[in-house]
Amino acid sequence: MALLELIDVKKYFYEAVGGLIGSTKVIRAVDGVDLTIDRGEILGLVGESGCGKTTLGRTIVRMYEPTSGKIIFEGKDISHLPPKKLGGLRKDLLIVFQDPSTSLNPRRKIKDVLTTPLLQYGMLYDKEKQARELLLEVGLSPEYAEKYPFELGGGEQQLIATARALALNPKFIVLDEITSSLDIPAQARLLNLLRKIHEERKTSYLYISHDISVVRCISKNIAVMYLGKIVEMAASDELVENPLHPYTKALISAIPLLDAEWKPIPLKGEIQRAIGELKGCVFKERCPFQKPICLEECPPLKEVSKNHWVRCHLYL
Amino acid sequence: MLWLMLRAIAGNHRALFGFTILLIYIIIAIFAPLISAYDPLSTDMDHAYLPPVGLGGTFEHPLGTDGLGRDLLSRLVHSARIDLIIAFLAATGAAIVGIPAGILAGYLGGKVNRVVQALTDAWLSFPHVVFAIVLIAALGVRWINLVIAITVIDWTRFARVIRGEVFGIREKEFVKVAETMGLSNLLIITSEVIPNVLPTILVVYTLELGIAISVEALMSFVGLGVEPAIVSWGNMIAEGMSYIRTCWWPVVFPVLAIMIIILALNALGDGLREIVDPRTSRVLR
Ligand SMILES: Nc1ncnc2c1ncn2[C@@H]1O[C@H](COP(=O)(O)OP(=O)(O)O)[C@@H](O)[C@H]1O
Ligand SMILES: [Mg+2]
Repeated sequence: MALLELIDVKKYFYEAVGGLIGSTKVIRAVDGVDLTIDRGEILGLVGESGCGKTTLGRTIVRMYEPTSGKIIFEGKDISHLPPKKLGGLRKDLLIVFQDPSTSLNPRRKIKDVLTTPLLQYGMLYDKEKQARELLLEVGLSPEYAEKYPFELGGGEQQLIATARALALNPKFIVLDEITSSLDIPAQARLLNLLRKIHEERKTSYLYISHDISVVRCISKNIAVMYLGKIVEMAASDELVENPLHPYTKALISAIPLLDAEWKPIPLKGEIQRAIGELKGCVFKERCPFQKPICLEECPPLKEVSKNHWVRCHLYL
Repeated sequence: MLWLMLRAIAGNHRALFGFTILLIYIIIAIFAPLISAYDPLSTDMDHAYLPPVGLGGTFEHPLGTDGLGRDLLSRLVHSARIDLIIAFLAATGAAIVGIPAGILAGYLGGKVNRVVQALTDAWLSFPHVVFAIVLIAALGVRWINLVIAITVIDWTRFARVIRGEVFGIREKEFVKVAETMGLSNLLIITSEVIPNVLPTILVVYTLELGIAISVEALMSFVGLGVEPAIVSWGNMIAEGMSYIRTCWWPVVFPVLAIMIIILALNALGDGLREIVDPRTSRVLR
């Protein structure tokens, strides 16, 4: 059964453009996303920086109100419920941010950082003991309780930020590039923790990263995003072994594989900002297989084989 | 926290200088009766206008006496009492009103912010000296009314500075995290906001102590401060001014006492600012 369902979710930002007349320009950060995440599912979300992953994650946890579309969590439409009105659902729908050095209060001890959310929900009975237990659970020394965030390394800080969310035992967590700023051993440590928690508690994750190789090793399914739209979605192995969308192919070919034949598919140009009116396929400017129709119509997301969806005129 | 604070102060020259002098003043104020050999109010016309030691005076009256033969050293150290009491009460009063106003306006925004902003703007548009004179004229010349006047006028200093600071803190990611976790406003303010404005509060409080002492001097000088029956630095200056042409020391010593403590408090304030700025110091954590 679906835990979270997104129906045609859009999130536009409006930026004032100066000048005599003074108009606004539209940034289509998330532009019509349909997704379903089941209980206990880990969905990976990949795409280059600037494609709207963070915006989508923050819209899901209702840091942002969607411009249109529906967000349904546990059968309840939360699209326009202000975060303060989510009530009991609030603690089941959490997010961990990319940069732990800014998402932890620099002036509070780790034990306070970890246990303040518990206090809010009446789950705090022994601060010292619970802080120590949480530290042990994420594989850190209980002595860290008395330290301040900046005394820890980046990987340890991110473990703390993650532990703080896990303490509330949420049903769903958005993990936004949480390993991106870490070195490889720290990444592995955090991923192992997430796997362990997932096995024990069946917590669902939306795992956001620009690095498809990291996403692959934790997610059951992967969605690929480009300029606010999902362009391809499939089971992890299927997506990596049999990518269909030219953008996915380019992303995967950018990972050096053991395969001797490896040759990156060149991507033309840079990712753009989704500003103003859009006509045709989101990927048209950079696509090596561009056809005339690609400039005219945006293709729909189509299921080309079981559970493998792609948004490309090549497969229509 | 207190221990860290002291350790940080010890590591900063300006803060250490200011803190040491403030501490000396506080000790002098507490032990004033032990330090001074005379009643600061008892007159002795036979020994009026005695000069201080070094200008022909004796150690019986180390700083000399005033026009009524009162011992200046005794008057000076007793004045420290009322001046420090006024300073701490007034700064605390202004803090008690101004800090919550600044935090609520800065964190909640919206209506609360507009009300606080309107009040602080209105306060700013009115010259403080005129405001103080009007208040004392209405309340009467008593030292406690001076405390009330300073509180009423200077709470906006706390409110303005802290409101601005909290505006910045509210946008920090760790506050956003607390919000997405559903923490109540009260819990966010106490656990995320206050620990981060505490340094600023300390700085403003220190500076406010100095401001209160100069306000005491100014208001007492024009006869609208501490009642004449109580000895204060401002009253000493006011009385001494009437015969400053014949004898200068009864005015110069309280002026020096005020200058030194204000200098020290400013140094402590600046030092605290350096200490709590993470770019210049990592000691305070
Ligand atoms: N608060 C905002 N205001 C205006 N534009 C924004 C805001 N947040 C993100 N954007 C824009 O939306 C697009 C998607 O950004 P983001 O969601 O951060 O992408 P990603 O996380 O994939 O790197 C970018 O073009 C970015 O500049
Ligand atoms: Mg991002």
